[in-house]
Amino acid sequence: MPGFPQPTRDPLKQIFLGQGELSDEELIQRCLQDDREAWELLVRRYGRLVYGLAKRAGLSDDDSADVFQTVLLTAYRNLHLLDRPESLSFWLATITRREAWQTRRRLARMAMVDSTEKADPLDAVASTTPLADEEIERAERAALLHRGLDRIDERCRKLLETLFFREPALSYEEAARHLGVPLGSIGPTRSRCLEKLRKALHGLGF
Amino acid sequence: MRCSSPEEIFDFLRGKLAEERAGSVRSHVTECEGCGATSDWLAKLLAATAEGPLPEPPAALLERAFEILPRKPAASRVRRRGWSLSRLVLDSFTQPLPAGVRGAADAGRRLLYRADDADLDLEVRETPGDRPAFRVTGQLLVPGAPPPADLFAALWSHEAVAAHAAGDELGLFVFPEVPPGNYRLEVWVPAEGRGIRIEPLELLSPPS
Repeated sequence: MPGFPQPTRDPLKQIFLGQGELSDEELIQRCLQDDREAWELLVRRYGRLVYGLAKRAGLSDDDSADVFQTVLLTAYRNLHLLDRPESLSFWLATITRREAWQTRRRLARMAMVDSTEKADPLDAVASTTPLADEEIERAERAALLHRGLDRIDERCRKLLETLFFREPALSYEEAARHLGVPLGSIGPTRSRCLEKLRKALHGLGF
Repeated sequence: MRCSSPEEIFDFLRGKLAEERAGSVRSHVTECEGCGATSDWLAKLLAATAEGPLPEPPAALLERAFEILPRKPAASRVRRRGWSLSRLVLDSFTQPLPAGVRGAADAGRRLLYRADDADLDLEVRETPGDRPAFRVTGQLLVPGAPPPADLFAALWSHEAVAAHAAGDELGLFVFPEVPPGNYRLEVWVPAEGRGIRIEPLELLSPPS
């Protein structure tokens, strides 16, 4: 019927994108009550952090996927033990660091044992240092940034992603061509989009 | 100097401004509270993006992780007496094998099986030594309920018991050294008159 809002077909999307995005504390409470939607949201919210950290620890796609699943299973089993819900992100990152480190150590041991290994085993051992606190913090911030980018409109998201992640950085002319917008609009649009991102990130503690 | 736009501060932080202009912006952001705050925020943003985007987990991986939490709440899942065949819910290795264990020696493998209202966690690790063997650790859990008081676990091979173990107070049981092979795992809880079966459980030798 014209003038009436359409019912939301995807309640998860509504929670995810709507004004009333669940806090981590609410999310945990609902997961502990076996709320499947909340669990899916938790996995989506922190999946990039967990998987991304495993990748940044130098693991392959397959090993990162193994770590990802082990971390989430561990989290599911121990969610009730988490005293401070606001530290969910750090808690997950810490479990990921431990799992990624253990995986790297196992891989290094294999490389040492395998006499046919062509790579220098010392390289493998050298890479078994756990991720530093600063790396964890950077990844948490990067994950927040992605959440912020998900909250703004597509045009701005594309523009900012081009701005932040495109290597080598694009000139104004190249960015305008890449995004299909007039050259003169890039500068002011970028300012507006940065402001939108700032607002989106404000509530996420960035 | 009048205030800089966020855009100009952004270019300044990325070293994209001409030297003279950069000097003006630098001294302005140290004096102007508003521009200083914008500069701090943009610097944090740039630090977060310095290593490139965080890669997103593949969609299939997300789907598997969703399955960790059952679709039906534990309370509504029916507990039956007798034997139940379990379903593999999660396998920590990405290469799918039908309820089997990839023979790679690179990592322990976590498997989660579900039968009625109970979850059975398995961890399979290679043991050190000349002969290939695995240490299999299991735990039976019923979400929202205490661990089963008594529990017996048996690994069957060719219709004979190859190994058996009793559970502890947490529902944990261990088979310390299991040779590679095809097995059936049975976990029996006498007090509840029910058991869970995993079949087949393939423990494969690592490739030589």
